[in-house]
Amino acid sequence: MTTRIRETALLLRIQLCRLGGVNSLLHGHDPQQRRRALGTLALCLMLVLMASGYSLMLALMLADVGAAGMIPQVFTLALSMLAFVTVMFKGPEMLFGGSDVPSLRAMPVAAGSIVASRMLALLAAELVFSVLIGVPAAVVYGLGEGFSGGLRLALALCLAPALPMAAALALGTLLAHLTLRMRHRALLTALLNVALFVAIMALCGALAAAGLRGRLTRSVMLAMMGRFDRLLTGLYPPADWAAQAAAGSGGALVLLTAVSFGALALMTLAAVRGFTRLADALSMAAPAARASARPGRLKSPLWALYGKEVRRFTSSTIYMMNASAGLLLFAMATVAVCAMDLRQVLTLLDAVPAVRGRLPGLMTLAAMLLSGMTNTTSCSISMEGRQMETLRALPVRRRDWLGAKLMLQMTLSVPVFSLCGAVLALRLGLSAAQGALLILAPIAHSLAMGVVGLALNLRFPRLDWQREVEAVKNGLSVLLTVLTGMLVPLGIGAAWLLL
Amino acid sequence: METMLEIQNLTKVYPGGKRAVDGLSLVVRAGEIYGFIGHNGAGKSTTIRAVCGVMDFDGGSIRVAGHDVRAQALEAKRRMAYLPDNPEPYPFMTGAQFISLTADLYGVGARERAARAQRYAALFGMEQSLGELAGAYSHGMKQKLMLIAALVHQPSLLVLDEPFVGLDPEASFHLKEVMRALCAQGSAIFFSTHVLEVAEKLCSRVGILRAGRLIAEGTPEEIGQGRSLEDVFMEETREG
Repeated sequence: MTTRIRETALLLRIQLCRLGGVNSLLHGHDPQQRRRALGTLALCLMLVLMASGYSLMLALMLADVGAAGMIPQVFTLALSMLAFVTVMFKGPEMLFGGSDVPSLRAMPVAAGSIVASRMLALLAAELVFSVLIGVPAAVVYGLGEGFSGGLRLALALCLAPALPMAAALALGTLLAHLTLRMRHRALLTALLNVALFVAIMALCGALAAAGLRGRLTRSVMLAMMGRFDRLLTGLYPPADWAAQAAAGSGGALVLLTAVSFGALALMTLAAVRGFTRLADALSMAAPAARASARPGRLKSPLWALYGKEVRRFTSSTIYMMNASAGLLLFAMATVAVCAMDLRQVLTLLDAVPAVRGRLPGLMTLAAMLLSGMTNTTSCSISMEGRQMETLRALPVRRRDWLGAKLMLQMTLSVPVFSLCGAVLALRLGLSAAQGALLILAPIAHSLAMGVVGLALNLRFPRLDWQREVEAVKNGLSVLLTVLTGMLVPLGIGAAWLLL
Repeated sequence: METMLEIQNLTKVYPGGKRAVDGLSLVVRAGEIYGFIGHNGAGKSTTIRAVCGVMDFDGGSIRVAGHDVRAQALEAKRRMAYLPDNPEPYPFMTGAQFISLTADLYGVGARERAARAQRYAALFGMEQSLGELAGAYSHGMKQKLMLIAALVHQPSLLVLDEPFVGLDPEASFHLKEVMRALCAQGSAIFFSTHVLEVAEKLCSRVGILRAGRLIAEGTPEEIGQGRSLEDVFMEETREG
């Protein structure tokens, strides 16, 4: 038992050393690598401040409308959803994948220690989110309910990610297992993930729609919160247990703790049992489609490299999901606008003075915001990984290499923003100029952010990744590009509304 | 004979101050197989990576078929092919797709590429595997795929880093035959190896590297003077 704990602790240390490039910062001699690690840390700190600030604002708003009692439910749900979505996408790869798996398996360590260390690393990452988002909420809650109330809520919120994390890992692993022997495995997994994401968003939409009745006054908002609370309690009991625990119920806290750790323990046991099989399967490439064994026709270098980029993109679930999130949200928003009763929404929006008469402009900015979230270029150089050496030795012009990456970005964004923009313009009865702006502004923004992403990824490439998720989600260039892509429309919007 | 590779005073210093290559100069002419030997860390791979434009260097110059690898990088690369010691074809592409990508980048026409790919795939026993994803290949198969891709455009200079590691005996035999045939057609080969017997039998000239400096160069007979290359290597690298 002591040996297992020691093994797990040692392996966990390796996992944690990898996070955020801390080890490179401590032991690296390359000044550029150190600067990069410092930049990543600074950016992470900024994101910490932003997340905490946003959480504080939401908690204060709830307290302001007299719904401070709902802070535990709302934040438990938010943290649970965050844990579910993030772990669902990267969990199976984090648990069973990675190029270090063969060497780890060759070492005299138990599979249980490998799984436990990886599970703890995932939990540690989720706990960081819990602290960032949960502590400001607990502080606001504590202002009304006393110090012990705030402390109990903080504890309950730290437990919140465990159950959804276990559920997401189970579901993600099941999806990975089901698609292992299938051709186009990555594409299929991405589609299943999208279906799940759409279902979650539709559920949230239904919850919000259940609350939306009439004008947005204080009393209507409180009534809406009440309805939301009842729905939530029925749909997700842990949110209610967290509320009861925060209110002082020791039984609810014990129940929440037992269910959270019980689910994690069950998932760990299941993962240990299936580790060898899944690690083996994930280390093998998916069966190829009926590909020809004969080389094809002559293409220009640009088109040949573009083909490579498309294959790279469609071969990775995490790359597809991360780079297409904004497009997916825009498409879903378009479907929602087409499906819903517009009079109700317009009446609701009419209650907000700042929005009145500015709907087309604000929609364009919202589309730009989502366009800023859609970026393939910011990690496309990092995605070259170990193959970069092969590519560097080939006679490739930089403009072809980078142009192919930019073409992939535009291949994704142009059709979606053109089609959805046109549908929205027709549905909302926008003028030709407003419709054209709704289509062209997000496309232009996507192009600009594509160039920014390339420039930043050239400056901060991350080629030494063990798992794709490290290049796709954790790169400094990805963080900076998405941040820039979102801040630009937010800045324009703020200037427009305030000036 | 035309000079295919000319290295003048090449120097490479790594961050931290280690001089991996220190004032190295050598020439490889058309029709030559030049073997580059030395201990681990002697600077062989660094030199090879600098030649191929994979790594920048701090001093000196490198010319491939008369083209400076820095100032005329594309022209230089069009004339050479590189097989790294750890071959990494794109794992999400099939072998045939990878060969196509390489052929597209070198501008090799459909008919020529098909004929050459077929010939080399048959030679290295890869005909049945080219339709599979490269991610599913073994180390040896990746090496063979990279070799086929390297040969598909008939390079003037073929640069190989430890090409015999991981190859089965039959593939090693065929690789040596291909190397000789390529040189007979007027190309040149520059490769590193730890297998001294291969260097002795295959190379027209050999260079021994120690701590980034060329300490001996010539034909195996000139260097050996009656002794085996292994004896000379052990003697030369032990000194200093």
